[in-house]
Amino acid sequence: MDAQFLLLPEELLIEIVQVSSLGSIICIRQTCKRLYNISKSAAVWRYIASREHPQPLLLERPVESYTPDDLEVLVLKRRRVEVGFRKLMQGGKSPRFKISLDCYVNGTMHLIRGGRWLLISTPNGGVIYLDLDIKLQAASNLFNPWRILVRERTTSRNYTTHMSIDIDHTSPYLKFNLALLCFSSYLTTIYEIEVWQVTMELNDRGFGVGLQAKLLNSFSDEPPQWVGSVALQGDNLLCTIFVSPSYRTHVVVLPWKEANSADFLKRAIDCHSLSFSFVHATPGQRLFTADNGVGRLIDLSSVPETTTILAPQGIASLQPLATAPFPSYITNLSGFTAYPDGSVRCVASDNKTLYGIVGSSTSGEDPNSESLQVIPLAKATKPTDFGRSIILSDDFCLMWSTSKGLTLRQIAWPTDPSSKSDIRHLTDNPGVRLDRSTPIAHKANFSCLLDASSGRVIVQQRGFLYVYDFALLS
Amino acid sequence: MAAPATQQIKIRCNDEKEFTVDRDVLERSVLIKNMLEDVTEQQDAPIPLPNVSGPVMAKVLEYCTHHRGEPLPSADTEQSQDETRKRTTDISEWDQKFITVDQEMLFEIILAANYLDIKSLLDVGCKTVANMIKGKTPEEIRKLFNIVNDFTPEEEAQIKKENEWAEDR
Repeated sequence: MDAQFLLLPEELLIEIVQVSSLGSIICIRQTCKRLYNISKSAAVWRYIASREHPQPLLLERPVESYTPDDLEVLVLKRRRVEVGFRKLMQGGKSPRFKISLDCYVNGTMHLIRGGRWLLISTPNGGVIYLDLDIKLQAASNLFNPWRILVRERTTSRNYTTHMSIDIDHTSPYLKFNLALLCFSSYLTTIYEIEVWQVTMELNDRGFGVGLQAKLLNSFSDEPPQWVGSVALQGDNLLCTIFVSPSYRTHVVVLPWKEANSADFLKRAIDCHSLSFSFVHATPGQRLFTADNGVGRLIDLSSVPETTTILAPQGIASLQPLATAPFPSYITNLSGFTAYPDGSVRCVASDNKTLYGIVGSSTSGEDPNSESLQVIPLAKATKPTDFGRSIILSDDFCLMWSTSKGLTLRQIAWPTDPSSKSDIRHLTDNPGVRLDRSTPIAHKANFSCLLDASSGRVIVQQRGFLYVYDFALLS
Repeated sequence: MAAPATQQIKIRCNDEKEFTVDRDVLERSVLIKNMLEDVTEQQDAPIPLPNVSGPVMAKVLEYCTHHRGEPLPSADTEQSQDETRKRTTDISEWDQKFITVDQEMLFEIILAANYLDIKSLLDVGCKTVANMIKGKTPEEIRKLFNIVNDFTPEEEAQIKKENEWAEDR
């Protein structure tokens, strides 16, 4: 047979490589110099960077400024994460790369998608951040790797800070809005809500070297009752408010751009849930609530405007976009994530079952096409199996329980969430214990984070941070 | 639109082989479609296609006839077409059967689809080649396509080392 294949013009060889799997590309490049060069071309890797994952790569600068090698590293890093997770799933071995950051931290954390930037609140109501890529590359122990993002408040108070992040995916550089809910109960109870715009600091070569924040708005008003959590989504800031005499949860929608401390209330919904955690703002101006055995997806714009928190709209009187029967004794609900196909997903559990929740829409074309489904994923062998803490990131969830410790589980979400029959294909991996030698004691106070896109798991315990990097496992 | 649909167009391949084909079938080729739009007067002379041989054209016409009437990717939908292309690596059953040909014919079809600008056929061709490569070792790919290894042993070892991680995927 003659060497017809290599007689194809370059553009066609590129097209063939573009539609090949990553594994094939690695093999193709080892055959000869011409194919090696093609497999290293910008055309191939720009295409693959957009092809390879349902969630687009979160680039930190315009795609044109990446060399093919940069893009390949990014794409392959994702693949390495998958391989690293799979190795853990198959062999059950502990990740070999565990870096403890020798610095005392104690606050709420947020890992920005992509796994590079870790935000953590300080006891004084500020926010500091860490560049994990730099820290993990440099084996040296930097004296103080933390940098200040949001300045600290008065030193005389101790604050608990909630964070909510809304990433602007249209920006070529990392850019997000950060909502802070700072709470202090020293002598008098104080709530401060702020919205900051955070952008990347670029060096003269256009590389991101840090983060900087600019205050967009703040509300220093004492909210009428107890603010439980904040969720930032576009122009709306959702606050859950616990109304003390009636023990009900209200959701307040703040158009934060125009809001000021005197008048920040636009819409209020009475969710009468017992817990804050079952109310979630979801992308596309929708609100998800789980309440009295019913899960609801509500269009926020359909909620009538109110003038006082004392006259909220009852949730039952609102016409939901979609509803689904919901387990009554949920102990966890976590990880609301939006996908480019318009669906939102999260996981929940009671003491018997782990559930996957899929809300889908055809992005506003037909409002009747919204659906909400609650799918049992796995049964517990012991009532404590699904513990008190679940973190969801794409196809993985990290959970902590007294019986199993910290475990990682893989979920196969349906490929087409609008198709009901496909739901049956949802499967679940039994999950593996993350690390038997992990210093997490059962009683210890700790919190953890998971970012599946970078394969990083962060555990904060007794003021120390442990970073597991699964991309390094393979 | 119904009346001129049956208009017959003549084409001539590089081996003098001529075909007379329904216009809507031929218009699956963006190249020919544009040519026909540029020519306002009825022409009896066949359109010359110097880059395609008779046997390959017969195969291409078989594809175009099967897919006649399907919406053509227009400039507006190019992006969404591109999206679909990214997502689906599978080929429809008919296309798969159609493209089960020897290597020489496969590459000829890819070249012809590229020249005639038939995007969907080009995709089917490229994906078929990608499927042939799938799961093969570098040595097997060399054998499959008769590729001469022009790396020095040192270079080969170096590339192998760089890409070692991918072995167990």
